[in-house]
Amino acid sequence: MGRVAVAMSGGVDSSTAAAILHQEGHEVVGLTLQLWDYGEINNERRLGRCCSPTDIADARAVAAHLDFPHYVFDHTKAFQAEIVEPFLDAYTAGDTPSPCIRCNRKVKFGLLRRLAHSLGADLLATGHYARLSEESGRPVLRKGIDPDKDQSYFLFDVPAEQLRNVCFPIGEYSKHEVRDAARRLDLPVADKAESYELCFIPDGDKNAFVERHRTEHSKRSIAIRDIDGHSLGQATGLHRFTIGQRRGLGIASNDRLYVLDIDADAASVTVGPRQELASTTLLAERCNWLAIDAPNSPMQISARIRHRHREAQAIITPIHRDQYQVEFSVPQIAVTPGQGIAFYDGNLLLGGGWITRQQTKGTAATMSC
Amino acid sequence: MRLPRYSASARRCLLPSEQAWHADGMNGPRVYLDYNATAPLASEVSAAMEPWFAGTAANPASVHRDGQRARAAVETARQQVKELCGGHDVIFTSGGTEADNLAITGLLGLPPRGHLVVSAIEHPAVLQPANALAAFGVDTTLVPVDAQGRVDPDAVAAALREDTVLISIMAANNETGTIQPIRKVATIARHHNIHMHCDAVQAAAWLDLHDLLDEVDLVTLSGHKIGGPPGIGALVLRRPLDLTASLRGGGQQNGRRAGTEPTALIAGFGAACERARMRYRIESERVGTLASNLVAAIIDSTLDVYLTVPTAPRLPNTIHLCFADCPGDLLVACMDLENIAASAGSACASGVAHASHVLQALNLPRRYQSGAIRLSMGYGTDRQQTTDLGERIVRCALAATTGNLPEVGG
Repeated sequence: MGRVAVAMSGGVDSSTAAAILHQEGHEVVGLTLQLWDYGEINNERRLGRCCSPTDIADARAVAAHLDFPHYVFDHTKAFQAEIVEPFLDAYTAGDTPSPCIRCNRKVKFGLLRRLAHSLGADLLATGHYARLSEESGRPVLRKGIDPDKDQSYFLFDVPAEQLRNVCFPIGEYSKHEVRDAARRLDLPVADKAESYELCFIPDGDKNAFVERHRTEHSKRSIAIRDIDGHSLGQATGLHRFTIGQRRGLGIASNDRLYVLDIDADAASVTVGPRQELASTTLLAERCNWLAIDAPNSPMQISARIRHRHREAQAIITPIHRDQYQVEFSVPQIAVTPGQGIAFYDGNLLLGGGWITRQQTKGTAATMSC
Repeated sequence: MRLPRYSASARRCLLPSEQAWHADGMNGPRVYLDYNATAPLASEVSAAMEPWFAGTAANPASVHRDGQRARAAVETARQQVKELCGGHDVIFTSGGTEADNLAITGLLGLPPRGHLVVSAIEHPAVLQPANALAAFGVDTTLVPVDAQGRVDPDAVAAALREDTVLISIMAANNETGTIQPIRKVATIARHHNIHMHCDAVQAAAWLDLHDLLDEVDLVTLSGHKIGGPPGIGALVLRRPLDLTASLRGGGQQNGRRAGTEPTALIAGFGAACERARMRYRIESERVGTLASNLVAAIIDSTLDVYLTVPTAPRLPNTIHLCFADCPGDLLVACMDLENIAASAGSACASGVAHASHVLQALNLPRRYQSGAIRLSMGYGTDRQQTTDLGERIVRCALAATTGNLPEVGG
């Protein structure tokens, strides 16, 4: 069996992925990327987050436990430029970014895949909950077996070519089974807690992070208006708002108000009742296709507009190059510019794209119909 | 291990033969090229240590016969250390780091005062204590080095001040192997009546220390770099000096470094010093030839590679190379998987390679900065290991440099 490079974050999923391959007799090489300098965060908060010093030590401990080589590569600069800066820029532009999707494309199945290749590995394995196979010469992605853990949504933007020589050893297991296997193999991370935060914001305080790195922008005065343009109040910093948000608007009202729109140019946020959050259509651009070639005629699919979004039936219609109009059969709540939309056919991940600012609101949708 | 619902085929499907990235591995025999990080324990060293590990209870400070025997072993070792580098007195420490710290803090006293002159490429065991003393108002002047990592003695002289207490320059740099003009610097120090400390940890196995350190006052040595055990080193006082104690306690080592002397480690260290003294000349020549051949094999390849110390005197065992546009950390990993153990720059505690202060001080062309690698040989390196070593290293450098798949997408 050949050499397999395993991307190890120090968590239980990637550790178990490595362990499974090792048990099967592959020559496993563990790789951990150091992507963020945790120096700015105090020790207490630093613990137990993806690829912090603790996580690197955990990945190393798993490799030592199973006795396979493990290397750490410092790519904090590339991560800053490719992931963190665009993340900050998105917030200052009034969008809500999806750094993990971009990281999968650029870092995990870009940079890391090239490292694996240089190290003489035939395969790159990760701890994603997704299933990958090759059918008719094409890498085909399916949802992970565990519906609660399925991570296929985060993979829609990875070009098909970058999924060659890749495998997801735990995609066919439930989280419960993975943890069980980790315990049986006595992995040092078997009972490690899950991390749900972004790896570069381990304390989960996204607002404070943006304020530290985009100080000027985050001090901008923002007008909060209702749908008719009446001012309801003032706030500071666009980054504090995301479409569909209800809490923390800082205005008193008898009605439940939600963020409906964010206008960076006008430095304003439009709020209104929940029903105004519903959109029937959206525009997806920079679409990436995996299981199928780019459709050139309308097609019935089911779509997820965010991780954990309950899929909705829709028809996608090609508009221009890699741009598609997505028309839902039932209006969807909080379609958010900057977020990814993944297209499915059952368990099959067809592809996906990026939700743009145009035509996302209920009103705009009505107009376009 | 078998898990439910597992189907091997689902994972193997992405391994069609034409898609396989690599042919079968071509790993040669394992070669250890990291002697500057640590050298394997020499057989005569373990023989010297063995009696003190096996069931012997003997504190060299004890009055009874057992203690007397241990004391004799410690004194024998002390003599062996002195014979290696010349000296008036030997303070055994936990290693090179402690000896460097003791030299600096010991000479500057309590409270520390005065001015330090050190080179920009000193070991962190010198730079960090100097840095910490800044809090007490102790200034440190960093003397720069040239592109080959050499200190200019005139620059050292120019850095001296009225209140300069100590000059500390290493005998040979651990990363590049560059040998420093210690004799000239020591003469300057003597002329100005300033103490001179020399970290000779890397030089001890390869150079004539008596000659090099002739006018030096304090010398740092370390056991594990010369075939001795880790955890033991010494600060050698080559002439009588007052030092402020670093560790206070039971008054061992004339009160300058308290703590029970570890007889086994000291005996091993002594044996390693003895061994170095007997064999440095012949080993320098033997290993020097192997290293030169390896350098030639790599330089003659088609790769764009920069020999960091082409003309300046350098340690015969140390090769410092910079491959253009090559990530050094990746190269080290590639080599490790090819069964060649080496370091990018110097090993550090975290295991993550960073551009070292030494590399930064050399002002290398940008293209070469990331691809620095240190190959350091030792007494266990032989002709058989090095036969096709150049080819193997070049193959690794090629994989780390150009083995990259083209970037797909934007």
